[in-house]
Amino acid sequence: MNGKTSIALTVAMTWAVGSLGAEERWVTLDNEPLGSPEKPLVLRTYFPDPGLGREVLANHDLSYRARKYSPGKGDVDGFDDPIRGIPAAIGVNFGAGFSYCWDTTECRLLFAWQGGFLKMENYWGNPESGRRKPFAYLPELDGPLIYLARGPHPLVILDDFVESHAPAFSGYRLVDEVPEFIYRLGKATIRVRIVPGEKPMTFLKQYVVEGAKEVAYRETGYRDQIEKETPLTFSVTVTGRLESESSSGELEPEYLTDKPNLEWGKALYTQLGCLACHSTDGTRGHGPTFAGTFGSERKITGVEDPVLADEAYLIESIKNPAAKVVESFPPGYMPPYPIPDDQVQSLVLFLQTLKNE
Amino acid sequence: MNTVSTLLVCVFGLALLSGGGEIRAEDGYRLETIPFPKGVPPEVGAIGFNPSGELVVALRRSDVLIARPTEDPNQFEWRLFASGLHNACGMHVVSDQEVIISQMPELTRLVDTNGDGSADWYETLNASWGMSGNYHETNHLTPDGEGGYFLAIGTASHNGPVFYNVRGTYSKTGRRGRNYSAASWKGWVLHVDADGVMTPFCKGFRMHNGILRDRNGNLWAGDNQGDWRATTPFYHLKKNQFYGHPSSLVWDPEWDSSRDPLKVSLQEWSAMRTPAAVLLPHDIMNRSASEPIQIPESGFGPYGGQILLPDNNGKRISRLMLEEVDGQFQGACTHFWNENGLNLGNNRVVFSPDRGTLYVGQTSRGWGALAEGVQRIIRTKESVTDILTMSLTPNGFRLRFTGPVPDSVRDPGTYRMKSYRYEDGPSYGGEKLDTIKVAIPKVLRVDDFTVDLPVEGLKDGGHIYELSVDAEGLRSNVFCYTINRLRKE
Repeated sequence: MNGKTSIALTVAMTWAVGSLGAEERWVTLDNEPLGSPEKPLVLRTYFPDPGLGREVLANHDLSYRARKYSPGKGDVDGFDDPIRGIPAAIGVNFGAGFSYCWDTTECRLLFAWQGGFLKMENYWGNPESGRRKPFAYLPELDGPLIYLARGPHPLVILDDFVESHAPAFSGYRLVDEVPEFIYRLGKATIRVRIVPGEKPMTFLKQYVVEGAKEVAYRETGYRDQIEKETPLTFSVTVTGRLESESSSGELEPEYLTDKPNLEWGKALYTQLGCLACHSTDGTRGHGPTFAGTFGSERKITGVEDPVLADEAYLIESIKNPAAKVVESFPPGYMPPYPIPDDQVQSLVLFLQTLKNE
Repeated sequence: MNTVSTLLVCVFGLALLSGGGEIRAEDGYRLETIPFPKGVPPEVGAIGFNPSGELVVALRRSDVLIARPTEDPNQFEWRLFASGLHNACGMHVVSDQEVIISQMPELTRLVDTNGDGSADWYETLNASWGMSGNYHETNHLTPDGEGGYFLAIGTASHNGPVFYNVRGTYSKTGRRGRNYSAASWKGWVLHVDADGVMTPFCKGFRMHNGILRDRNGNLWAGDNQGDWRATTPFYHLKKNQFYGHPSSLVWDPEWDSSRDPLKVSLQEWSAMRTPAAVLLPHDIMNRSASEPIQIPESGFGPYGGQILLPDNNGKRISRLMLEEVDGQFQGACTHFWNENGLNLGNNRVVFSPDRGTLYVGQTSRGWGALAEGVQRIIRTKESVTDILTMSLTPNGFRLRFTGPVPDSVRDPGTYRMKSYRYEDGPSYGGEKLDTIKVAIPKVLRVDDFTVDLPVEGLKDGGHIYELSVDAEGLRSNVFCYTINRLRKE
């Protein structure tokens, strides 16, 4: 069923129910459900990953390919590779104009799109047979992407940089039918509500922060216009643009090993999104360049003597970046990367090869 | 609702409703099918009653629906209480305004804060288990009696992948196997207290699709025949125990993380694991245990206090007769309901507030032929003649009847018995082993309601004694007693 028929059918069904005096809007066997601007549809389900970088999914763990298994024979030839999905996100659809996916693990907007909402048949199954698509049951986005999160979390609590915190999702409230997501970050409680903007391709993020003194907000790669009611109550108008879904973050199978290696480290530099902030050619970015880092003496904010960037320093900077922040760089900007040790080791191997040019 | 629209709903209500309504009877009980609004897939993930006496049903795709039961099964008027849930699997109704749901990603409190009849606050109470992205990682809950919950967290299936990005921690070792535990706490029972703090409780499960804390405070869970389950087991849960499916061991802080739990010798495995209290033979009794429920002391026939265990892959509901022998629970099972109009996919159950009706929620979507819906089993005024309990004596088995022992069962020729055992292991399911015929030479009267069947050479260690009773007028004819321990006196 294409998007247009789906919309037409939904309208017809809504009308049919409406004419009986009922206002129920339950999810039916229609595998392409739609909300409306007045009553958005909220749906928790698995989501496809349209090409998010590792810096966006920093609080997720990474899986590996696994040896195929037979109940009778045990391990057999061949591998099962992971698929690119988001396990615990929430989708919201405002009708044909605007949909988005907000994640409860990263506590941030992951992506937004236009057109229909989700094609659920892969996961919900064929209406007649009930069968889902066994190894490809991710729902599909029913329209073009207009926003794809990049870089670290756009909201940073500036008075809470000493320790890094993983965000903790508390739930959501329906405020005028639109969910207001609530999460905690250290001592702060953050509420955010996302609605379509007035102009095409735009949307509004309405923030209320409690339990913090000062925050900074910055979208990586999109125009953001911030209107502050108070320092901690503000709304951000984000201007999206047409984005293509990509699988560029796909790992090459040869890297899917648990033995640390340089090639893997090189691949992870791109796949984890390190490159968004750290150059390898000495150029200054949001974070210090990687060129010549290993073995250098670093000046650390709040520390008198320079610190040697040895292997332990690199590991700490990946796992707990807030522990030592290089002078002149913003504190609390880089999220911790809780990646497995073999990946950390691979990155360290890669960093050790990057000399000053 | 005004009068005109009420009328309209009545007139068009029938046209909107799909399927259902047929009535079938089995001695002492009657089965009816409850239809859902047209187009709504009745994939029942969880079911409950609110204090007002309304039926609350969570559907796997998204929605929580509520209706007040009517005598006519076709007259339920459904309304929407909440929506947007990802595969709701467990439910505890706290009040008319508050429902606790365990869904795929978390334990959630749904609250209608403004009294308009639908939830507007979806509070995350706990989300401490991982999510690999595998479709099979469903769960269930039972209240702990102190404001908290026990949660059964199922494993993933090799019939589906994991995601590249997982929630929680990924375990490469846990990922191996037929059903696997690739993300945190899969295959465990977790305890979440009233403050939302999680403590791991016990481990070693494959797919414990249903957990129950009974009226005496005992915790129970079934599991599904498969790898490490030769047949469907029913377990008495105790803290820190291991119940035999090895993959979950990777999350045990005591487990040496470099060890592959699938490579543990069968001897070591056998010493570690706690056996099932009752084994339910796959072919004749139960293929896939779902939510256990304790029968009310009165109101639902003579079986008060016993546990019913629906079959998620059979048109059956098993009845369990448990007893303590040598300090451990074990016992017998039989059919409470078999075929006779019951759907496949029996998944969740709840008793009506008057205790006279059992509501059964069904789903199997994604696991073969569609078998979904809600049916109810109503206790009628008819009397029931049945074997109430089969229990173990030092020299055989004792049968207690629901009334005076019928003449038809006083002759030893009425009974046939065989014994067999199963061996759990890494392969999927298992055959019956060492099947032998067991002689029942005589039937001894104990009192007006009870007879003893002497049996020689009883064997413990999980031997199953299958008793067939060839007598007219009994509700149940096949009973399987699992002997873990012999009764000494």
